[in-house]
Amino acid sequence: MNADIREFLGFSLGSEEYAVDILKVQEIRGYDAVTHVVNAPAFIKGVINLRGTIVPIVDLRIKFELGDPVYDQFTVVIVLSLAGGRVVGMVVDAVSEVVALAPNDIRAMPQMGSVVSAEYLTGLASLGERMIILLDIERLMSSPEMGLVETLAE
Amino acid sequence: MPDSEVWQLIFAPGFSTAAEVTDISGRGVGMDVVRRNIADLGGRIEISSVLGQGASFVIRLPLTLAILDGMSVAVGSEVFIVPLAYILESLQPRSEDLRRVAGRGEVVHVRGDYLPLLPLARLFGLQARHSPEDGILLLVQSGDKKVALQVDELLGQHQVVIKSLEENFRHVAGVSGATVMGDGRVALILDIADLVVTSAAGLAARHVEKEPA
Repeated sequence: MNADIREFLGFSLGSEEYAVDILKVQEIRGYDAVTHVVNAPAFIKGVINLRGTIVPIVDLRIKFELGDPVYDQFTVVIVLSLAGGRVVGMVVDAVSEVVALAPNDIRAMPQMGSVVSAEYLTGLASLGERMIILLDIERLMSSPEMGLVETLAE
Repeated sequence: MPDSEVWQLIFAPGFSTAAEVTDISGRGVGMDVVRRNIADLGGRIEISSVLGQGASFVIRLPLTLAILDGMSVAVGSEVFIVPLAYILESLQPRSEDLRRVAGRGEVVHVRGDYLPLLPLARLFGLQARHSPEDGILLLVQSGDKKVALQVDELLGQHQVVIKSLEENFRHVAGVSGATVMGDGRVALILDIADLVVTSAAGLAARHVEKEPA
């Protein structure tokens, strides 16, 4: 086995497929009732009680403007464990699989305008007919545009 | 007067034994501030003194500040915790006691005082279940400022464990923390001091982005 192969957790948002570094994933759970946080942007659904810690929940479908988000029994929250021990949950439509990718499977992101700044998209991987968008979830969740962390500007 | 009561006098505001009083010292303020701050933390301070030998000050603080006496209130579909220490009283206003002040929002007339009315539902972008005269007003005080918070319902009094919202998230204006309720849901603890201060500045106008309820 090649040491450069990294594993990613694939998930779908609308009709698009994304993947994040699996080492950032702490657990996967169903979508539960959240407590709204006052005056938060729409993509911050609120906070939940995850075994005694308060964890914010963001809905990537709203953030990425991928259609109308539905909440049903298939809606999944991927709980991420980020640098500094921060825990954040993100709502996705479904978790698909774990994919192993070697560096040469990953293509650079073409230059284009997108809802999310392209610096959080690390590359594209093709898996058969499918295209998977790789997210730098650590940077995305710490970015000022997510508003999850205190920024100096505030 | 026993000695123990005499020693307490140094905590009285304005009490001074200084021979000379300047603009900044000797005005009998310092020890009052000390006692007030310790009391705010839920602690107390004791003094014992022997003439010619010295004095000892014992400061007792609670081991944990993580538990708070709170009143849970319902606003729309959400539950919030109001720290009990800030609550003066709760009342149901008569409609003739509610007055509008042009461009300044609403005030409520309570026994000769006009207090600013802070509808939590509007402040937090929620859908209130009741109009002001059907809702309940919680009169809260922080410092010397009083404000009437309008809520839909008083749910009950609890001791709640304070959980940090900032550990995984950021600071939220008007909220000092969160707690987990008996049913496992999270309730936000209101930062009354912050709400009272910003009620003057018009917190509602400050926030543009709102979560659709």
